[in-house]
Amino acid sequence: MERKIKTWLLLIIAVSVFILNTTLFQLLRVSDTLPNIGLIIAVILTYLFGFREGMVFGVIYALLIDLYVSKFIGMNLLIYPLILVGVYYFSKKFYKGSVIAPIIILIAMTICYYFGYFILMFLLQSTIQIKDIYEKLLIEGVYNTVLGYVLFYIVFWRVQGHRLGEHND
Amino acid sequence: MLDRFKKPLIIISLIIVVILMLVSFGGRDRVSFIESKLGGFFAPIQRFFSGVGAKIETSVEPLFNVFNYKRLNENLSNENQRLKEEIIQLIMSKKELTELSELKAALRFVETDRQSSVVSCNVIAKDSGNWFNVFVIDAGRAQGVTKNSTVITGKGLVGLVHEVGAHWSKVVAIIDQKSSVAFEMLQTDNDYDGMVTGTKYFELYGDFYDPNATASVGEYIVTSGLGIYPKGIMIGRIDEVIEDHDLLLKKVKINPVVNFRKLNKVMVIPYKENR
Repeated sequence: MERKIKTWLLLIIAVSVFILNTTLFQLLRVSDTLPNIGLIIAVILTYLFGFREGMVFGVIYALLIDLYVSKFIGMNLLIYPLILVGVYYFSKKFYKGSVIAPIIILIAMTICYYFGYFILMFLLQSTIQIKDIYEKLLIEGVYNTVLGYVLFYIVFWRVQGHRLGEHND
Repeated sequence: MLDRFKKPLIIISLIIVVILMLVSFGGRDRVSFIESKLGGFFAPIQRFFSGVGAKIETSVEPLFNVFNYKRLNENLSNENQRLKEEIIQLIMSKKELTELSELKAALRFVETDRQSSVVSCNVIAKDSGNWFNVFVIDAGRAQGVTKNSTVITGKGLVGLVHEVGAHWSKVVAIIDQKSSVAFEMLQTDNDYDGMVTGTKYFELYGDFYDPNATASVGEYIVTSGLGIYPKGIMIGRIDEVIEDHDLLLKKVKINPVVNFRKLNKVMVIPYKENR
C-alpha cells in the first residue's frame, strides 16, 4: 500500500530542496561535482510513494532549477519526467524491499540524465565532448548512488516500518 | 474519460517545453513578471542560506588545509619575490604613464569612465548541476543591471549577466564551457590576442589568433575589449603553453585570478550599447 503525500506538501519540499541545493548544499561539492539531490528525491518519491508524488515534486523542482540556475528553460523539465516514467515502470516490476533495486535505479537514473543532457545539447548545437561526459558521469554516478542509497534506506525504513532487505526471504 | 486526454496532454506539454527551450536558449532580454517576483521572494532566503554556507566553509576550511600549509607558504614566498620584481617594472611604467597622461590632457581627450556606475552585490545561489557555471546575484533591473553586463570581483573577471529580474540576475561565469572572452597579453612588449573559453574543471583555455604568437608561463592576460566585455579586466595567469602541431596554433592553459569556488561578493558593470 503506497502512502499519499498532499500536493502542497510536495510543493514545499520541492521549493525547500531547490533553495538548499543552490545554497547550503554547495558545500557537498566533491572534486567539483555535486550529487543530483533533486533527481534522487524525485526517484525515491516515485519508487516508494507513487507516480503522482514523484512527478509533482520532479516537475516543480526541475522548473525552478531551469528558471533560476540554468542557461535555458526546459532541459530538466524534459529529462526529469522521462526518467520518472522509467522509474515508475521499473518499480512495478521489482519488489520494493529489494536491496539491489535502488542501486540499479540510481545508477540508471544518472546514466539516463547524462544521456538526455548530451542529446539535448547536441540538438541545440551546443555539443559537449563525450570524454567529458564519461569523467563527470563516473564521479556523479558514484556520488548519487552512495547518497541516494543512504536516503532510500532511511525513507524506506520510515515508510515501510522495516529495514531494506529484511523481508527478502 | 481522463485517459482519452492523456496522450494529447503529454504531446502538448512536450511541445510547450521544446518551445520554451528554443525561446530561452541564449538568454532572454526580459524574464516574466511571475519569475521576477518569485525570484525576488527566494532572494532573501537564498542570501541567508548562502551566508550560513560561507560561514561553515570558512570555519571548516582550515581543518582541510592543515597539510597544505607548507606548500602554501612556499607558493606565497615565490609570489612575494615575483611581486617585488613586478613593483620595479610598474614604477618604470608609472613614469611613462604620467608622461602619457600629460600628453592626453594636452590633446584634450574625452574621458570615458565606465566604473562610475558599478553595482556591488552578493552571490545568493549557485547552479546545482555539474555542467553550467551559472549563479544568481541579488541585484537586478532596479539596481541598474542589464543583460550582458560584466561581472567582476576586486581580482578580475567573473562572467556575464545572462538574464535579469527585478531584484536578481542570473550570471554565466567565464569558466562555463560555452563562454568565450577575447583576451590580450598584459605585457607591453607582447600584444598578441586571442579567445579564451571555459572548461568543466574551473580552468580556462586560450587560443591565439596569430600562429606566431609567443607566450610564457606566469604571464597575465586581460580582456581585449573586443566583444561585450570592457577592455583591461584581469582574466588570469598562464599556467601552461601547449603547442598544437596539428592546427599550427599555440594554446595556453589559464588559471583564473578569481576563485570561482569561493565567490560571495561581486560587482556589476552595466552594459551600454555604445561603450
